[in-house]
This record gives sequence, structure tokens and C-alpha cells, in this order.
Amino acid sequence: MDFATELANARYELIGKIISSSVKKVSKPKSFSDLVDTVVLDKYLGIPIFLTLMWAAFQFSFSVSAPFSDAIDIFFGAAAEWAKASISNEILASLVGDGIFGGLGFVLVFLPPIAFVFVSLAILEDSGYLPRAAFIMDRVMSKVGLHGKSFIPMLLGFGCNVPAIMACRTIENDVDRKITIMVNPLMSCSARLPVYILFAGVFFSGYEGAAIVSMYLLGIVLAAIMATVIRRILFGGRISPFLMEMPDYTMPSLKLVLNSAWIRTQIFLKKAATILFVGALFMWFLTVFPWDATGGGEILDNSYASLVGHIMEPLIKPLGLNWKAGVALLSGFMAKEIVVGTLGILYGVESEEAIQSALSQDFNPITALVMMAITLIYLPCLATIGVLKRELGEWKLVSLVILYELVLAYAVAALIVVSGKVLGVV
Amino acid sequence: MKAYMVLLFAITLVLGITEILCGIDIVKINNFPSDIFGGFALVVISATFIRGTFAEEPVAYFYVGSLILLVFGVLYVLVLLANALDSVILGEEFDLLSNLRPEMPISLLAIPGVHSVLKKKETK
Amino acid sequence: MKKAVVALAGNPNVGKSAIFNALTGAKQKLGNWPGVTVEKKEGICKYKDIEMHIVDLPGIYGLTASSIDEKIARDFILHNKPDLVVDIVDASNIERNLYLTLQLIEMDANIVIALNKVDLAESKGYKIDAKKLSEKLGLPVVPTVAIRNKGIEELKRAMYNAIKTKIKSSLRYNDKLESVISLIEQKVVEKRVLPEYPSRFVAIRLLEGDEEILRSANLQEEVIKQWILQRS
Repeated sequence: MDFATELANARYELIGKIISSSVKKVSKPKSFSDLVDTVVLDKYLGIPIFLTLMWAAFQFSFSVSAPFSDAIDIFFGAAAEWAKASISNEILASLVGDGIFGGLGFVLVFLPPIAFVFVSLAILEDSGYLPRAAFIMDRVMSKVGLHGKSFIPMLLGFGCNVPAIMACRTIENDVDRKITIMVNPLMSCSARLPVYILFAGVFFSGYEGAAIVSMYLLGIVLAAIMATVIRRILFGGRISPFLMEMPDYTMPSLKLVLNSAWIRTQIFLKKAATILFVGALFMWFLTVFPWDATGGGEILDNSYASLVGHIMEPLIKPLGLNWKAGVALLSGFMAKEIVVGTLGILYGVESEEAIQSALSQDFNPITALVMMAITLIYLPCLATIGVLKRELGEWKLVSLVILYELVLAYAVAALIVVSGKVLGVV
Repeated sequence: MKAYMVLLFAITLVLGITEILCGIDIVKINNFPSDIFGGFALVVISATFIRGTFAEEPVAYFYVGSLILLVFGVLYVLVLLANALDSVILGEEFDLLSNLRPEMPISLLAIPGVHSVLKKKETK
Repeated sequence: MKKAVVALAGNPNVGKSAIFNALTGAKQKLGNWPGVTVEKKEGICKYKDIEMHIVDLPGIYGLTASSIDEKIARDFILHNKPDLVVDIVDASNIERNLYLTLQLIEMDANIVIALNKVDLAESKGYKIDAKKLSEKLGLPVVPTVAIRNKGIEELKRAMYNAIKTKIKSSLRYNDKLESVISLIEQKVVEKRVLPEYPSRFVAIRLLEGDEEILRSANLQEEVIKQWILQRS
């Protein structure tokens, strides 16, 4: 029990009671902002309105940016093909095609959602709504060791952790900011969905929705737990007081919004993009070499990636996973979406249905859950590691995140396996 | 104004609940959005309107409710345009009907609310 | 003439200086708090048969001794044991100000509340029922507008009465928390932990993990946790 917090809360509670009976707000001509605040901070409507606006921001950021991401994806895909067709030297062709264009495309595909998220954030900030949102959510958040302003980045994490972590810049208090950033990767981003859908579809048919939602919930619960733990261990359990300026509402200025979004997007482009790009080249190297053995990247089995997979195998065997799962998870290090694709390549199948039957051979419902849980927890993807470094500053903290995620993933997976055995399922 | 608020409340409530019901597969309507979250948004808007009719400052609720409704209307139009663009880029067929949503025309009903309050703000 | 020591406490910017000046007039003395560079203001206010020595404490938001100002204020109240603490509350910012008030009450201090800037509160649309507030807090509340010298006579009268008949507020938190507090308080009394301080104050501070109190009492947080676990 944290009595320091209890006491602080008890004092505020008492103050609230005292005030409600002795202080009355008399109707004086209310300013426009006050009027809006009566609704926005309304006891019953406050949170629902907040959630609704968050949903709108979410939809805007990810749905409206999709065509741009697709365009970039196709453009670089075409560029890669062209490079491979036009360059005679095979290795060079693969380097330029898959490595460079593939790598560049992979990085830039993140650009549209990030840019749109920053635009949404700028609109919320400039209009004056953000402090109200933080105020509303603070009560809930402080119970799990987070700050009111953490809620929005956490929610954005459901779309993609990269812009979500960058959105943490709006949290002024350094400790709160760092904690939010460090637990953000546990919010299940959309890249992990393909893995959930694939395994839930094969092993939990009829209850896919439940299986998938349980992953999201697991992420939230773990984030809450880790936030409290990290706050205690690293930052001495201090909770900063919630002090916030509530400026008047104003119509967001297009110029300011675009400017602020552009500045933040630029930062992403510069730093995180370099790490992403290098990482992409690295994965290319691993899946394509030794060149002759893999036939230029065709036969994954003979690549260094597969070598690594087999080395890893003893580690994940107790969890009921084989080397292919290991390699797939390894590829997820680059980007979680790749896990499904890698599984397809490894099992030598192209279509969804074929993958499903192949999987039933090597997995069962328990190991399927293990795969899903590990995908949720095990590692931030390369892009996320890039922004983690950018936003946290020190590699020490970044390594801590990676470490706790690996340990947590293994622990949760082990728990699932043990429960499976105990419940007699396996 | 209050009567109009009640009207908007009814419309958004019915639409919202229907969208949710379609979202959880209890009801099936062709070309009608099955969207639990979008339906939830509409229900919240309806709650804002009805709460306003009982509040001290109904105009505040009228404005905010209308504003949020308008935001969603614009949002869905943008999503429609994005999907259309996406279809062009991916070389796929664009199904206009499935991209239309009731919020689009309904949000037009929100304009009086937003406009009148903004007008009053100007004259203050 | 009887002498009494009165401390002025309150958040920064609540009008403490104005109240200090209104009470002490020209009879002021400036100096430093011992060992630090923080300014100390003292003055004299004579009322009926009591000569009040007014000490202006630094403006603080709380009494957790996490800053030099808080430490000075807290130490003065604990060690010098003033006969009265006048808690100056900014009426236009009442919620934040009452946090300090509650902590003063935890210290079992003899308190009078000067509810300052009531005019500002009114212009912001707040109507504060001083009587109700006084009832709820269990302390005398005197509305003042110090810069216009309003309420100062009433304040002096309330201070005089409070010095003559000490008041203790019986304000308590929720039952669950209070049961833990009494538990610790019992232990504190039993084991004679820091007997020179009010036991309730010590109990609450130990519960909060106040580093200074833990150090002075030569106890660790784990010990406190043990006390709680043993009895529950």
C-alpha cells in the first residue's frame, strides 16, 4: 500500500468535501471557454467526450494517412523491382533493390501516420483542449503511476508506438514522460495484429475476437504494472502534483498546426530514420547471405538468419516453439508485421489458407497464445527502439526497456505454458 | 433550441445504437456502417444533447454536441476521400456505397448549433 | 503583559506580507533564519493584554520539508511551538491553499484562518460561506482584504481568543486511513517515538515515509510496514 499517495488523495478528498459545502460558484457572465468547459469537464460527459475525440484523432491519423503509406510502399516496391531488373551484378542488385529501396521504403512508410498524428496533436494543443483532457484523465492515471497527460500517447500506442512515443513530448514533467515512454511499447500496436489474426484464426476460430482483445487487455494491464514498478524502482515513487494552465479555447491556426507538426516530423525523419535504415540493411544481410547457399535470398533455410534461429532454438523450445518461430520473431525485430510474412516464407507457402494448415502442424492453442503474447511483449521493433533512444536520451534506459520486455515476455509465455499443462490442455 | 436539441438527441441516439448493434453482428443492414466505436461516439453526442436540456447552460451543450457531430461528419468525409485515393493507388475497385455514412448528412444538422454560438462569441 | 508567539503561514502570494504589515505596523524587524539566507520577518502586535510576537514564515505549499522554505516553517512550528499559527488562505485559490491547512491541522497546531482576498474571489464568481467553512474545518475563519485593511480588527480579536482558549480541530480523514493512522499513533506513543512532537503528526509522517522524521526517529520504512502488517 502506498500511504504517501493515499494520504495525498485523502487530503484532496477532504478538501473537496469541505469546499463543496462552503464554496459556491455564483453565476457571473461566463466566458466562452468557461461555457465549453462546463460540458467538457462535466462529471458524466467528460470522459466519454474525451474518448470520442481520441477515437476521432485515431481514425484521422491512421485511416486518412493510409493511402499515402500505400503510395510510398508501392513506389519503393516498384523502385526495388526496377533496381533488381536493371542492375546486372546480383549482389549489388539485391543491395540496392531490397536493401536500399526496400529499406528506405520501409522507413518512409511510417511517415504519413506519424505526420498525421502530429497534426492531430497540434490541433488538440492549439485549440486548448489538451490540458482539459489531461485534467480529466489524471485521476485515473495517477492510480497506476501515470500522469494525466500520459493517456493520449498511451492510446496512440494502439495505432503505432513510434508516433505515440514521440507524442510524449507534450508531458513536461521529466519523470512522468520517461515512465510513459518506457511502458508505451506494451500498448499493442497495429503491426502486431496480423500475428494475432493469423493465430487466433487457426486456433481459436469462433472466438478470435476474444483472443485478440485479450492481447490488448494484457498489454494494458502489463503497462499499468510496469509503470508502477518503474516509478518505484527508478524514480523513487514520487508523483508530481498535477498543475496545469488552462488557457482559453481558440480556433487552431492552420499555420501553427502545420508548423508544429512539421517540426516534430522532421525530428523523426532525421534521427529514427537513420537507425531504421541501418537496421533494414542489416536484416537484408542476414536473410540473404551466405549468397550462394540461399540462392540470392530465395532459400531462407541456408541464411544466417536461419543459423541464428537454430542457435536460439534451445531457448524457446521449453515454450513449445521451434526454430522457425524463432526466426519469425527475430524478423519481427525489424517490424512486427514481418513476422507473418517470414512465417510464410519459412513454411514455403504463399496464401493465408496454406499457412494456416502448416501452422496446425507445429503449434497448438497454448503455443499459439504463447506466440501472440510474445509478439505483444518481447521487443520493441527497430523503429520503436530508434525513437526510444531519441526520446529517452540514454542507451541505459533503452536497454532497460528491451531487457524488461524480454524477461516479461518469457515469464508470461512460461506462465501460459505452465497453465496449459496444469489445466490439462497440453 | 431545446426542442432542436431533443431532436438531435433522438436522431444520434438511434443511429448510434444501430451502428453498435451492427458492429456486434446482432443486426445486419446493407451498406450501413458496423462500427462499435463510431456508434459509441454518436451515443456520446446524443448524451451531450439530452444532458444539455436539463443543464443550467443548455447552449454550452448545444454547441459542444454540435461541434463534435460536425467533426465526425468532416472526419468520415476525409476517410472516404482517403479510401478512394487508396483504391486508385492500389488499383482496386472503390465501393462508394460502403464508404458512405449517415453521420455525413446528419452532421449538416449540427451547423446551426456551431454557427449561432460562434456568432454570439463574435459580438461579445 | 502576557507574551505570545504567533507564526504567519500560507502559500506564496496569498497576501501574507500585507497581513503582516497590517498587524505589526511600523514595529518590524528584519533578519535571517539561522544558518540560511532566507529572510526572516518579525514584528509586534499589541492587543488588549497580550503582546503578540509575529513571525512571518516563508511561503510554502506544504510541510513535507522537501525544500528549505518548508523545512524552516516546519521546524519553527515543531521546535519553537508558537502559541498560535495564523494560516493565511487565498480565497480565490482556496483548493490549493487548504492543502497546507490540513497539514497544519495534522501538526495539532493552534490555528486561526485568515481568509484573504475575498474581494478577488467574489469578482471571480465565488461565494464563500466563512461560517460553513469554519464549521467544516473546526477552526475560526476570518474573511479579510488585507490590502484594504478590511477584517484586520476581527482577525486580531480572533487571534486573541485563540491564544487564550486554544482550539484543536478534530478534522479527520476517511475511516480506513484513520484506523491505520491510529494504529501507528499507538505504536508511536508506546515506543515513545519522538515524544516532543505531537503523536498524530509523527504517525502521519511515518506513514508518508517522511525522510527527516524517519531519520530523527531512527526508524526505517520497512519497520513501519511491519507495524501495519502485524496488526492487520
